[in-house]
Amino acid sequence: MDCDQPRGLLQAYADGELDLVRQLEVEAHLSGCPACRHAVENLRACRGALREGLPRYAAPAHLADKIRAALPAAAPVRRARVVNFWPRAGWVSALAATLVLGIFIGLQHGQTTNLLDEALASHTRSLMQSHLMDVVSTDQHTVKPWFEGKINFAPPVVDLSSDGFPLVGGRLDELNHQTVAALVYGRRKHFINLFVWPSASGSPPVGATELSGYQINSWTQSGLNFIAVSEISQSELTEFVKAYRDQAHP
Amino acid sequence: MDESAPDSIVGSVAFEQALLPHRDAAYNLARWLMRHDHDAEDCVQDAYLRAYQAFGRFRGGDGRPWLLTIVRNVCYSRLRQNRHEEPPVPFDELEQEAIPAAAELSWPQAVARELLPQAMEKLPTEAREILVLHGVEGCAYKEIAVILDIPVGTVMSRLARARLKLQRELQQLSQKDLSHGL
Repeated sequence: MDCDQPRGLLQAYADGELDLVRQLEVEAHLSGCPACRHAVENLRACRGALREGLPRYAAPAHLADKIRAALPAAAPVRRARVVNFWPRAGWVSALAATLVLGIFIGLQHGQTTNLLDEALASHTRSLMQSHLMDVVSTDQHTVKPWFEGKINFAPPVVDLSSDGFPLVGGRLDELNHQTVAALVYGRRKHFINLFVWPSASGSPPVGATELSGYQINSWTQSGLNFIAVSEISQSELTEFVKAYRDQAHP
Repeated sequence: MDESAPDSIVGSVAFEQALLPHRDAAYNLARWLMRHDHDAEDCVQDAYLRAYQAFGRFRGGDGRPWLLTIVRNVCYSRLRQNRHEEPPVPFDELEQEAIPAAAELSWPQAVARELLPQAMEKLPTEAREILVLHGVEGCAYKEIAVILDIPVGTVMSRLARARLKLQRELQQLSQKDLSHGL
């Protein structure tokens, strides 16, 4: 017997799929209906048995390499060449950096070029995952304190909505083993990652560059390094940099 | 260009970032559908290659449902090729049925742990699939609906029927177990 509960409602309840209002409605019903309570217990027992009793088969360790090897474009890339550069950032940024290093080989910035590569890798990584922002706020007064205690420098957090670059949020990231602040600004449907960290241990090459279709603009000021990365056009990114610098270092 | 494989370095990196972390989910689903290590591995590899070729259609966000859709398509076509191994299962014919009453499910209080995988083996592929996606992979109804390309209502009825079927298989197995024990 299912009372007059719609079919599937109890299952959805037991599976935690109901919104709060419906959940409370079902709970109110359950308190007066032993039959439905029993049904929910059964559903939960079944769910729990599957969750605990069935194995989740893990991919064999060699599968990732096999997959990578089978992809035409990725095939020539050798991961081992850069492994010692980025022990923590993982193979993805290592891969990006290797490829990008190839492009940059003619430049003479040496070590510091890595920073641009990493900034680009980090930018694409942040877009791919849902972790673009650890603190989502359009309010500079929320974003700024969020960084306090997490890093030992204060990235200038300014709101640029009036310039068409609303502040979206911020997060911590890592470039070349250093923890950096990443401020995220929006531009229509695109994002700008602005990486900020102390310049004491070296600075990236200053100026505007294009890497793999992404625009990069970096500078150093007041003891801090800044790298802005985005898929928007360089002229727009330059506009962003100008607006940011005007406000952050008046 | 839109439907083609990534043609830039950033595209390749994006592909691997978006989809490679889901290889355990891909393998787990394939392993449950194919019931064989090597077949599962082949299917996953094939699925990644297809995903790579179709990456232009990936609209960002969570890569898992997008990848799992491809994985299951590869697995099903493989299973159809090997039909002699697996008779076509008319689970879908029941698809029109309404969601079973919740009270129909009377989950056995004490299930012998080793019987559960056995009972899963006996289920039609689609029943096994939805139980794995929900129970093992922890997908929500909505995500399952995307992976299987069916409405959420169908997810609910298929899940309910799969659970009932599993319960029946379990009951049969434990009866057999009892009679063997005597």
